[in-house]
Order: sequence, then C-alpha cells, then structure tokens
Amino acid sequence: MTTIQTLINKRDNVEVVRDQIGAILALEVQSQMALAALAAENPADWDLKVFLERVNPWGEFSESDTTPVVNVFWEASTFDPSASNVVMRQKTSAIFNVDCYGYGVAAADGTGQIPGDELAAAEAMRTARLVRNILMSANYAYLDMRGVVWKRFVRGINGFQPQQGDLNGVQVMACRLLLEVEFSEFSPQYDGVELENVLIEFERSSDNQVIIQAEYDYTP
Amino acid sequence: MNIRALAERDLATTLEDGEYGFGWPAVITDPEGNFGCLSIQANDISALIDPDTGQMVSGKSIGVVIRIRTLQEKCLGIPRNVSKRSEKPWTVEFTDVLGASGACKVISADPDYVLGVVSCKLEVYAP
Repeated sequence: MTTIQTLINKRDNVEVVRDQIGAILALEVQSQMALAALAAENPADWDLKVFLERVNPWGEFSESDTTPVVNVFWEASTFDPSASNVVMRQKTSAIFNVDCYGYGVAAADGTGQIPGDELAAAEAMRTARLVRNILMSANYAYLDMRGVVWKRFVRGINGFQPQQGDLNGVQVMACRLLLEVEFSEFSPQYDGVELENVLIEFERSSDNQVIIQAEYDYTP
Repeated sequence: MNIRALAERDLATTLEDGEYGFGWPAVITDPEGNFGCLSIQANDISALIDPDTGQMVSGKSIGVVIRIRTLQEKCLGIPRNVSKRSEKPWTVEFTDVLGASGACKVISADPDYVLGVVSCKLEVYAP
C-alpha cells in the first residue's frame, strides 16, 4: 500500500540552483556588455554563451564565432544530517562545475604570429575571471535565493584541455570553476487527515469561574 | 630498380596525381615567405570517433602528406612547427572539395625518409 498521496512533480532545489547560476551569468553578461559600451570598450570582450548540462559545448565554436562558452553542470551533492531533520528539510552541499571554454585561431601578426593555443588559454582565463567575479560578487552572496541558499563559494579553478584527442585543427582550452553551494532540500510531507470534529465553548460564570463545554461528534 | 626507389618514384602517381588520383593542389609557404605550388594529399575532418575509447570527440583534424622530392625541387625545406611569436609559421593553403579556400599552419611534421614523404598536422590560420 502506498502512503505518499501527492504527485511528486516539483523540482529539487539542486536543479533550481543550477538554473539560477546559469541565469545570473547570462543576465550579468548582458549587463556587463552594456556597461562596457558606456565605458567606450568593446562589448564583445565581455560576451559569453551560457549553457547548462552540455557534454561538448565547445562544438559551438566556429572560425566566424569565437565567443567563449560557459557550461554549468552539477557534479555531486552531499547531505549534512547534523543540520537537517529527518522529516522535512535536508541541508545540502552541492558542487557545480562551471566550465569556461576559450577558442583560439592562430593568426598572422606583423612579421610574426599569434599562436592559437596561447590565444585559447588567454580566452579561457578571461572567461573564468569574469564568471568568478560575477558569482562571487556581494550582490549574489545567496544567489538571489535567500531562504533557500545558505552560502556559495568558489572552491577552486583548474585549467584543462578538453578531450580532443590529437584533433588540434583548432585550439580550445578551458578553466573549471568548482562552485560549492549550500542550500536546503525539501521532501514530501505527511498530509494529516481529519479524525474528529470537536466543538468547544469557553464561558465565564458570574463568580469568574471558567466553564468549558465540549461537544464530540462521534459514532460509538 | 631498387624497390624503395621505385616506391618513391611511384609517389608521382600514388600521391601527386590530381587527374586520376587523390592529388590536390596546394600552396606551401615557409617562414621566410618562399612558396611553392605543388600537389599533395589533404584531409580536413570534424567530429571523429576516438579509436581508443569509441567515444565521439568534438574536434577538427587537418593534415597533409607531401612528397619530399617535390619540396626539394621547389627549393623548400621540410616543414616544421614554428612556436615563436616573432616568426611566421609554415603555412599550407588549399581549397576544400566545394571550392572554399582556407589557410592552415603546420603544428607538427613527421618526415618519412624511407618512403620520401612528410606528414603534417595543421591548424586553422588567419594569414
């Protein structure tokens, strides 16, 4: 016999937090581009493409579109029993990987050249710098989800070369930000059922004695 | 004729024949700007299966095979990777099968002095 009487059709907060990270990045990148334009800078230098849970998002690159790519994906969650209760709320610590991909096309430069691999690494680090500053800004201490998110913190940044085998016809480099977020997860709750109707009347007599009258509707 | 010398001579047909074979016209330029027009074999392939893992890997593989004797006839050396920013790289320019032209720089070269060819891996380059 099943006991959970409600359809579990909610999204867990780990999914909401992941989407929120992507939304913050996409939103703030647009804002940064606008600010760059006001500062007479090239807005394209602040542009990013933000994806969620992609396997090989760097396939987005082409020789005509070298905009850096950011991919947010969940890696792991752990639950802290000491700060949770067994009925409703579980304190969760989740690691989200925020991968920043930079693309470089080698180019002639006067009497020399600009190597594509060096350019790709610089682009990846520039993207990671922008992402870290957005996510760790004071404005997003709780990722705009205060009440659910306890804290967020960038635990580290690692550089790596995406899996391309020796297919280095184009150069792609990446940085991975390990973003730890602590938040609450909630689980389905017991729905109480009505057992009895009880009618209680409180009265006070002339000598200030409190008199309670109760009616119980029951079937013997 | 010695079998190795015969194999090298046959490269004119097996590697460079552009009429009945897979030979493909290209322009090769060295860091000093010397260039030669010659027939090579080229490939330019995206999104391959990694033979080690069986997984599809996203990437682009560009490579050419060039007959060393033809390079010598064009007064060109053996291509190599040039890493220094202050030097121009070896470049190879050729069209794809649809007629679109493109330039690449040499990122590694493996000469085979037995058969007399050099295999080069290339990277997209904006000249």
